[in-house]
Amino acid sequence: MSELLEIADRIAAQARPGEQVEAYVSRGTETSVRVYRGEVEQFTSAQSEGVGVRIIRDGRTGFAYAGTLDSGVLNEVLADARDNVTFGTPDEYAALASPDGVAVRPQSLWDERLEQCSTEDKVRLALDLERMTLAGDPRIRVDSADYADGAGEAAVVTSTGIRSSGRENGCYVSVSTLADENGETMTGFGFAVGRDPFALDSAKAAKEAVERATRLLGAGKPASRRTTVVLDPYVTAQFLGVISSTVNGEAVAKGRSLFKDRLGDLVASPLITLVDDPTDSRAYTATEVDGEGLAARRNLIVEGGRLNQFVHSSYSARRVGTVSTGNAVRGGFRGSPGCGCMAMQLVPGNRSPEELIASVDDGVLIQMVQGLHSGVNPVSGDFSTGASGLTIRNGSLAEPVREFTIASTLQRMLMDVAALGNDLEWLPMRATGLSMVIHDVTVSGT
Amino acid sequence: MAVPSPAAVALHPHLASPLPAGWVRVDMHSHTMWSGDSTTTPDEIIEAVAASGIDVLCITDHNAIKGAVQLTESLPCRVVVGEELKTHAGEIIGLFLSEHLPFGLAPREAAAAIRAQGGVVYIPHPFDPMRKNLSEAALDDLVGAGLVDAIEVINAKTSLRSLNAQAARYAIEHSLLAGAGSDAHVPDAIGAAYVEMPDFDGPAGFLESLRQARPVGHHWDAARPWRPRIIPST
Repeated sequence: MSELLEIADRIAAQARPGEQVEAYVSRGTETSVRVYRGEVEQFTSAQSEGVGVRIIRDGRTGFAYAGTLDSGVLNEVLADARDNVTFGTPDEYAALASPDGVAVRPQSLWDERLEQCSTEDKVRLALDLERMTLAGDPRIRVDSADYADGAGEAAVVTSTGIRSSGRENGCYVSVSTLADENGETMTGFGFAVGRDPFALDSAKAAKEAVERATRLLGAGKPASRRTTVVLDPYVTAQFLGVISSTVNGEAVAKGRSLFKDRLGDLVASPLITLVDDPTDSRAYTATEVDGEGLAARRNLIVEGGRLNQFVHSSYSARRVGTVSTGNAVRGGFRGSPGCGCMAMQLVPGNRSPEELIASVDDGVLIQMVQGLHSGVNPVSGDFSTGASGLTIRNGSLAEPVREFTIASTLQRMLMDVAALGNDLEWLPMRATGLSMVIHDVTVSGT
Repeated sequence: MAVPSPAAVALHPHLASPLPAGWVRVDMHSHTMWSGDSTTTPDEIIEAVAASGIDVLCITDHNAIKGAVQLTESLPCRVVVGEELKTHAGEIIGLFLSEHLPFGLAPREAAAAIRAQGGVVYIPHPFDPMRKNLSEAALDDLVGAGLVDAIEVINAKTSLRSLNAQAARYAIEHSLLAGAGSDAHVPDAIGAAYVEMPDFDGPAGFLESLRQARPVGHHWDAARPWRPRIIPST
């Protein structure tokens, strides 16, 4: 790690008068294994390292990168970035982040057991997952069983005083299932996420993947009505992904958010407290520093239903006259940072999913939605998406249903949240799931 | 041959080109609301087909044939019932189908199932990773096993011409018939790509005519305006 900082130091130290220089230096590895019918179908093991240099002068930004840390190349990258400044369009808000006094919150984001996991062990995890899944039910086929991991370390140094670094690793297994009966095929999936591959709960992933597919067999269309829906944790996480784009400071600065003029307003049920918390090390996307090198932090987006804040990088913050919330995100050394939520999470309720379902007389458990992103109107907040799940009748799960839509608006849906589960589920995405009960959603079936 | 409307020609200028007598325009790849990721209703597709002047529309919904069967009688053009099937290693189209095929099969099983009901095995967007293409290994395997009838050398949604060109080279190198289609997920896309070929009757006649076909088309992938979804029974 110190070597990455040293490299970044050397580059940033070459800032000329009137220039701001940022060096982002990173190294990483990733592995993915896909098995099919007891054989390894795909195996990818990749390493990468590189440096991205951003220079800002007179409001113009130049950027260049190289996929190497070879000392002979670093000055070339710096020179290229400097050349590219002349092509940049002046932007009065363009600037690098500066230290903001927020201390980095140390986390446990690195597990040595992942480093010690052999290739054979990783393949075995995927094979075991496929085997356990197939053993779960004779009607099940496995579409794919995967193991994936990643490890990365990065350093950011700027001529404006930022000097930070961090590292994290993580892994997950996932399985996609197909269940066949009477000429129909239903799909399911299961995940297990962590940092220690030997502690991944593959049995749970397999069980869920089997249940999700088989319990939909024989599904029909539900009656059209306005009713209560209970979102499965994975579906809730998908909705949080959509909501995250509406609280993104860059979207707000450009006037493209539903909530751009709603700060301080009641925008959700009082039950809703929504945080973006990359400092919770249980999240797959947890991190200590953001893409500009500022400390990652717990941001309270919605508190008791009231819209408390948006998330910002230093750039989006400058555009709207506020400060960064440590939400600069970048995809690696090949690009400049943007703005985004990092680890969305609803503060859980105190009831189990079973208790939530028991509280519903008539409703639908939404197990899966299809095409949610294209199903949401980003301007109006209207959404309409295909769904499948299980009928809830008198507090119990009943017959499966599919080929229906659920529709509402994001604004109305947030206001109509009636209960949250205590079943936080960690997923390989930038949002965490839990069960959520929503009243008065339009179900369109027969 | 139906006459395309000025509005359709404005969208897809190649529709204005003359067609030899006895030839037809066949869009070998299109979707409707039965696909799940398209919102095109029957009324919209009737209007779009009439505007484009397409003579034969292969309706190849994702993992479904119900819409294609239902539209056979109502469209102002002939319909080939097809299905774009998700296999374990990417997508395969079956044309001239009479039965719905299950998805998630291995590619060989899927191709064999298409052939078993007298269908045509057609490989869509074979090199476009943005379109859930069949893996190259699976494609080579299927071609080696003699289980491919045609591959798509113009897919109107494929944004890189080089990927369509790669498919055309592959077709020549492996003596495969070349097809083209709009991959329409919105009504206005009908007419974006098709083959011009002598008229035909049934799958055998189709393959025979396809030997003389001229793939025609351009990249056309306009964004869909948001609208509420309709989820028909599949």
